[in-house]
Amino acid sequence: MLYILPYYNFMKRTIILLLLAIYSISIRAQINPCSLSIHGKILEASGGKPIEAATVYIKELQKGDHTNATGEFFIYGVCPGNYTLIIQHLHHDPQIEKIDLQKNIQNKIIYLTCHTDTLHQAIVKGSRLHWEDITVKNKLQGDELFLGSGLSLGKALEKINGLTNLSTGNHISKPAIRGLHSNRVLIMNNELRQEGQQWGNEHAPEIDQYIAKEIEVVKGAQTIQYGSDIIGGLILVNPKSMKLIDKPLAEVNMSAFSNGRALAMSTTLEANIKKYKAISWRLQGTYRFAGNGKTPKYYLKNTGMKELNYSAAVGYHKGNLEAELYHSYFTSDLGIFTGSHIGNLSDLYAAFQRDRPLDSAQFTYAIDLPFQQVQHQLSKAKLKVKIANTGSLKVIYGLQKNLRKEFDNTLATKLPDGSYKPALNFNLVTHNYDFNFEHKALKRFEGSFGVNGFYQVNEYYGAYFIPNYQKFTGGFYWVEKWHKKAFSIEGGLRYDVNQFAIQKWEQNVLLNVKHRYKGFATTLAARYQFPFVTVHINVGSAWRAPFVNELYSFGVHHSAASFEIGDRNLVPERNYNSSITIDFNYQKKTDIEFTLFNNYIHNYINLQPQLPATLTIRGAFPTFAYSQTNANFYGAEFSSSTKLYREIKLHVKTNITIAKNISTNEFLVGIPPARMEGDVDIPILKNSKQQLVWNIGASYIGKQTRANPAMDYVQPPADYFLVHGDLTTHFSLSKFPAQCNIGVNNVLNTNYRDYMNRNRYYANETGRNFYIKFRIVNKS
Amino acid sequence: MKTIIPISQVLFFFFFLSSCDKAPTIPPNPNEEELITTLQITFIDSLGIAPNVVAKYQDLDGDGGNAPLLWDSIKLQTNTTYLANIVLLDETKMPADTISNEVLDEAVDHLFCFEVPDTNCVITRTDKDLNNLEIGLQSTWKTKNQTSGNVRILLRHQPGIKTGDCSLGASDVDLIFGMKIE
Repeated sequence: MLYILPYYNFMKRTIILLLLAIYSISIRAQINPCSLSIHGKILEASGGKPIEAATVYIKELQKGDHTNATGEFFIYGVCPGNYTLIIQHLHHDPQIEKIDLQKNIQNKIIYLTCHTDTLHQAIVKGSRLHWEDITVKNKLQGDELFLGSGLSLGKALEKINGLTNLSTGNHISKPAIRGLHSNRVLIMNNELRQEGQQWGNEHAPEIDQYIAKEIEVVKGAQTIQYGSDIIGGLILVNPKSMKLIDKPLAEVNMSAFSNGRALAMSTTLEANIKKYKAISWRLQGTYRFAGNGKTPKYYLKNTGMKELNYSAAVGYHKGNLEAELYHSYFTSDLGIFTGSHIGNLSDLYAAFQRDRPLDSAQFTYAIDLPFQQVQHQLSKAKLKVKIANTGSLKVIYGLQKNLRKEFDNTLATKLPDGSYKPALNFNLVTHNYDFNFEHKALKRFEGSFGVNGFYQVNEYYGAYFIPNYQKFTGGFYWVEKWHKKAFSIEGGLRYDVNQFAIQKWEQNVLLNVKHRYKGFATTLAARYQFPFVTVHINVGSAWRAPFVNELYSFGVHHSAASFEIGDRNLVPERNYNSSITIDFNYQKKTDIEFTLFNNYIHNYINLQPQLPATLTIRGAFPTFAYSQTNANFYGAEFSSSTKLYREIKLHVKTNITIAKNISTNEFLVGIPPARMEGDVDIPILKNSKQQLVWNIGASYIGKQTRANPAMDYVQPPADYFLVHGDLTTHFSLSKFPAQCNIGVNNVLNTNYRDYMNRNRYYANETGRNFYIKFRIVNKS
Repeated sequence: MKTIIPISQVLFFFFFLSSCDKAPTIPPNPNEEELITTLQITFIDSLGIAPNVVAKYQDLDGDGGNAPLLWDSIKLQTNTTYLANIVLLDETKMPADTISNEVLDEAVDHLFCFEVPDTNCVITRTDKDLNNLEIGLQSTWKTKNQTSGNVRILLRHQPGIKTGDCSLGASDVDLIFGMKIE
């Protein structure tokens, strides 16, 4: 299954044939009289939302199953007869169904009603912000988060189909959704818009991955509660909700990696106050460091990092009132690969011509010049009040402080005492104000409306890259949902005003320019649940105001060896996003998700090459100017999970994104190439105390053949094929549940370069990497 | 609802508190940053016969914007040995800042490199840093027969990696001058 040949078309066909073969085997009817089965779905009566972890059992046989995340259960090996089916769930009234079983029952849908007093409790699972998934959300939680931990947040997100990383070396990675990233992807960090200097391609999100209990990804313009500017997609990083803390708990996470000799440690402590159960608290801290990474043949000089984070939270939850105070602190030092630090275009070509960087390196943890030093603080105050027979009101205030310093080894930044001042130095302060009112269900309608306010100040010290600015945005929105049994529909509308003033020097004159943009954003989503198949259809339109770097940048971008020129007359870009997702789910054996999407962006802001090159005393720099065009991003995603034999599971995912400049009919650059991944879970041991699963997999990343060569200095790197394998075990250590994962990435020590890594101009990717991850939870 | 009104008022208060018009901070003027605007190379005949030659590149507004004010060609005489001296200036400052002095202070991290049109001009660096490696602020240019073409002058910044190899590091200066030996 895994001998995936590096021929994309051939491989695609092979996989499809294999999958078809597997399905035809697993779908074959069964003839043994006592091998009848009951398959069905447990849904919420009021919203049609699947209910997870409900118990479904046959009273007469004392035999049953628990529902999975999609609300499905499957009971098999039952003789024909009349039975009583009992369905129970913590927050719902139990339900009894009489069944006459003569042949296999498939896709029986049973609705449960909420306990009247816990209407919203039942709906708010974990720290989920929404009640129901009419739109398609991809989630990472529990084991998936654990298995992806230890590296950056961006790397953990790669488990989601359609997500890649725009990276700079091995530690700076920023998530790209269907080829869009930076200002086109919104990250909600604990219910607040993460506000760092995200316009920069080499500025990674300043978020501690260990804080997340759950990460959700919404691709495309499908959500409007959080902003009008979600052109590429939305990432929700959700910590555990404070009100779910009901007993003392300690959790320790550790990961170690051989490549870069990296180590990550994270600890969480949480509890209620003994005398006042309504008050809960949590303390969490993470320390992570790595030294120089190693490709199969050489070390990468100055690619170490260190990161130290902590967070503290206090919650109050009683009756109709819920309050929370939260503060998090993130700080990291990131070495910039010295081989990537080049002067002008001739230097870049020379670096590219070499098969390995000139700077030879040894292993070291020391971080030398050039490096980035980033600090991010986030504070949140939240209040939620339930008003009987009306709904609930949520008010959030957030304050974020982002400090970014980039140090460089230049004459201009060296101080007389031999130390260096930052070459770039930004200080960004953001205030967020969110009001949300969720009205109680009115007949078949559920909905909420709200107001978002935002005030941000940017100041720079040192060299100019983007101007100082003071920005204000304000917006209001309304979202409504309507359900009838298998059919659900959701629509939303919002209006925003975005205005800012900038200050910059031009020929010794201080400019002060005001910009103002406004517009509507809207979404419409529908879902229909057929037997085994759920269809989601979504259309949406969002808009994004040009950012100050697109308006005002002027200067040499060293890491890209280019001279970038902004255009202060840019207008907002607007997208029209549509997608269809078909979800096929058969008896917990096969789960397939297939998506087609199209994202048309009107007035897409893009860097275009400009002639002639800019001549400076440091040589010639190819010149790029921000301009606008119409672009179309379209593609497909496929993922499947199939039980091959008993508990042996095959996972396959593949996706492709194509991006075209409609005005010139040329392909855009920097779009992730088509990729295909497959892996098999093989349970080795499973009993009530222990569990051991072996996973082996491979990924094939194609060569990006759809990129306009005039827009890049060098051609995209060749395709590559990587193999990985690991063992995961669940066991008990002094009665505490523990989990351990041992594995190796890039087993074959393949030499390759990745199109989405900006360091591909200069060096190979890191080689074989052994790792061990460990987690233990002290539940008392 | 009673509890809600003061809460929203408090939040609005915060909002106006943070957004009330305090004068925006004035950003640093980029002209106060260090900049190399000018490279001047002076040639003196070692025998004192041929006249001195001065060639200059000058771009007072830095990267981009207006084209360089001066970009001379280097005109040398045949069969002469010149002593060449390079000066780098930041002429946005009053008085002009001599950047080449800083290069000399950090000579162990800097190297001038020269690319000549043909063998009719041979350049040899004559100054050395603390590690006994050449710098190139001073050099001899030995000319032979008539020729014309381009000479490329590079200042390579090689922090901690200087070995005398021109391919290391990044360029602080990378200029091409027209050259004529007649």
